[in-house]
Amino acid sequence: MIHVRPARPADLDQIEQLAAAARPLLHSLPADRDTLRDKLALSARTFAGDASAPDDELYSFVLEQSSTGRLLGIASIVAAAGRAEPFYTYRNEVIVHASRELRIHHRVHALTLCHELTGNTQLSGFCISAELSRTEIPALLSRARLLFIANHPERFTEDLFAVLPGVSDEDGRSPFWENVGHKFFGLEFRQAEFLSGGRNKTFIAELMPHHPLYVPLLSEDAQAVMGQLHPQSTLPFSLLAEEGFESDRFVDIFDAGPVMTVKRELCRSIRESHRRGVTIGDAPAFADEADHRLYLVCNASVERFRALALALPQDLPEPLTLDEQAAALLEVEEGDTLRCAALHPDRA
Amino acid sequence: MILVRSVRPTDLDSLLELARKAGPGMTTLKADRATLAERLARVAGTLAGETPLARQGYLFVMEDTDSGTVVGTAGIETAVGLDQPFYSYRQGLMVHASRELGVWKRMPTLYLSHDLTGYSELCTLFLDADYRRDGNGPLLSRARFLFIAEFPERFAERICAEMRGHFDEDNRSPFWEALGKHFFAMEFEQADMLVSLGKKAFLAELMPRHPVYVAFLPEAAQRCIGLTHRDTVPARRLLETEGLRFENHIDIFEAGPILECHTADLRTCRDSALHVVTIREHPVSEEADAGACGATSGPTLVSNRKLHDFRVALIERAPRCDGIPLTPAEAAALQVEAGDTVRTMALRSKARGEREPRNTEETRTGS
Repeated sequence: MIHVRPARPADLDQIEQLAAAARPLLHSLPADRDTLRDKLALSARTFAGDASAPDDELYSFVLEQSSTGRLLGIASIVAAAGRAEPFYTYRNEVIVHASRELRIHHRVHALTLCHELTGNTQLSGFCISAELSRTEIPALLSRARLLFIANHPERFTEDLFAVLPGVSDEDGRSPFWENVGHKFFGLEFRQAEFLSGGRNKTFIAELMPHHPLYVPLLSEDAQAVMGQLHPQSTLPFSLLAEEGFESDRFVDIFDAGPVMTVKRELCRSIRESHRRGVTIGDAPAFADEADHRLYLVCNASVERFRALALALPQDLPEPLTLDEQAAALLEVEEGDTLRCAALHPDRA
Repeated sequence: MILVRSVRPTDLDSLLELARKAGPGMTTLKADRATLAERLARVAGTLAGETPLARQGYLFVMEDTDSGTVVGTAGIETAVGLDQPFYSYRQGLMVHASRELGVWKRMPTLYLSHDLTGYSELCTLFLDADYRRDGNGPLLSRARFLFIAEFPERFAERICAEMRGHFDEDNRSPFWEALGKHFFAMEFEQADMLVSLGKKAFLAELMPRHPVYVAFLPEAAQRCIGLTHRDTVPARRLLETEGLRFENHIDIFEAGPILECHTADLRTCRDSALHVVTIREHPVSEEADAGACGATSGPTLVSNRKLHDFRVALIERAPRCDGIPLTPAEAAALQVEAGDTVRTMALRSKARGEREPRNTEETRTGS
């Protein structure tokens, strides 16, 4: 079995390997040991703490092979992005240029540097071992975060977002950066990307354009990649899209990658998940496959959070009967509460 | 002889003929009878004190008195932008710097502005190609400054002049192609025609409201900023001699420079002088003349100081201590008599060593 649990400082070696193997490289998960050590320490403090409102917390989750302890993926939640300094994105606006006198009506897009997402909860740093990409496991890792948010709403905000990697080539050249950021920074994309390590550094305010950028004035290459996903990032994108995340209003300030946003209450994992009590016994496992359905299941704990994918009776009886092994993996006892969400949406 | 004078209603046919020679490049001198007639009425109303400030303007013509033909024209608008907004781009500068990253970048930025609202404007300068000689170009352009020096209360504190911008070999404006076109979806000629129909302010409403980073324009378009059309370079030089300067305002369509200065700082306002007219059948040459003051020498612009029948001529000699000697023909052309006071201005400034452009090649005006 494969389960999701909070990351620990001792996971450093394996996480560093995952980060180094990530394609494209993620600025939110740099393969830099010191940075990762700091992040893991912060995450461990976060899970051990009792935050009552979103602040500087970082929740990092790992995907672990239950039998071997091997780590297969990592994904995080930043409780409130850009708390210390604003979080920057470009808002993609439409400006209408119209003259009744001249019978002209013309729509022009413009990118405006904005702080609108500052303080919102951000899903970030999704990275999974390539061998799992065609399985249900990536959904388990990505959505476990949303089930966690559903269990502890007070720790997060009502608006969620995620920044996905935009188009760049194997040498780390981004057409958008070449035409836009480079004019203001005079640095190469990857250099700037990893100097920043995020989207909330003072130098962004100092260097990025204060005035809106008219899209027709950008090079054709740059226009073509606005809001476009890095070809190797379709998996995390589609997982969020299935949750209801949309990507039409903002783009990333460095590579113009899509910025996906959603109202927490409209998120599928949150809206369509159910709480059930636990009883432990002989689960009627696979007695009749037609009555069963694959569910993502997690416990209600913070520090001892666990999530896994289980086949459960279609109608989710209350209480749910788990066998010993599943109960052990989920670290639950008789009388505890579970949250369950169907892996695949109801067929319409 | 060649004379610059206020335009009269009877000049309409001559002006129409002149406008045909000017061709389509001159947006403020279209060969359209109704437009020109309206302009003449506006000038008459301005002189009579009947035209509101927003529509006040003056127009002068250059006449060859031997043939009675009108060979050039030059105008002044009293206050621009009070009727329809007067748009220009101001090229400003943003510096993007981060000490942390060791970055320091200069980012020139175009800001849409109405900065020049209320300025007086020098406009509509055109001289028939056959007459671009003998100092006629400077005479035509600078006659206006003698008028301003005479009646400064009729003009704004600041004055400007739009210079035609750069066009490439295919007669396209690289600046328009890179900027304006995106916001209008029309060709320059079409926009230019709308401008000549007085619809510039409507067009300007379609221009980008947000500042534009120059770095996002192609290099050919960047080079256009403040660049004068090659045919207009002499006109620009002449205005610069007078004290006008490019202060980073440009035309919003083709990025031609707008020159500007304080009206009181115009060289003619500072340096022109009043002299009494004496009539001589054969004025002595200045070298042999014991009465020369020595303040100025050489050819001199002379105006008659009359609001309703303003006249300026270029004569070959400088004023003397006892007045300025005019021939009877010159006095008749200027409509002055012995004992009248005229305003004079040396064609060339000795003190500052500046030279007027004067050969045919250089005085091909076209703004």
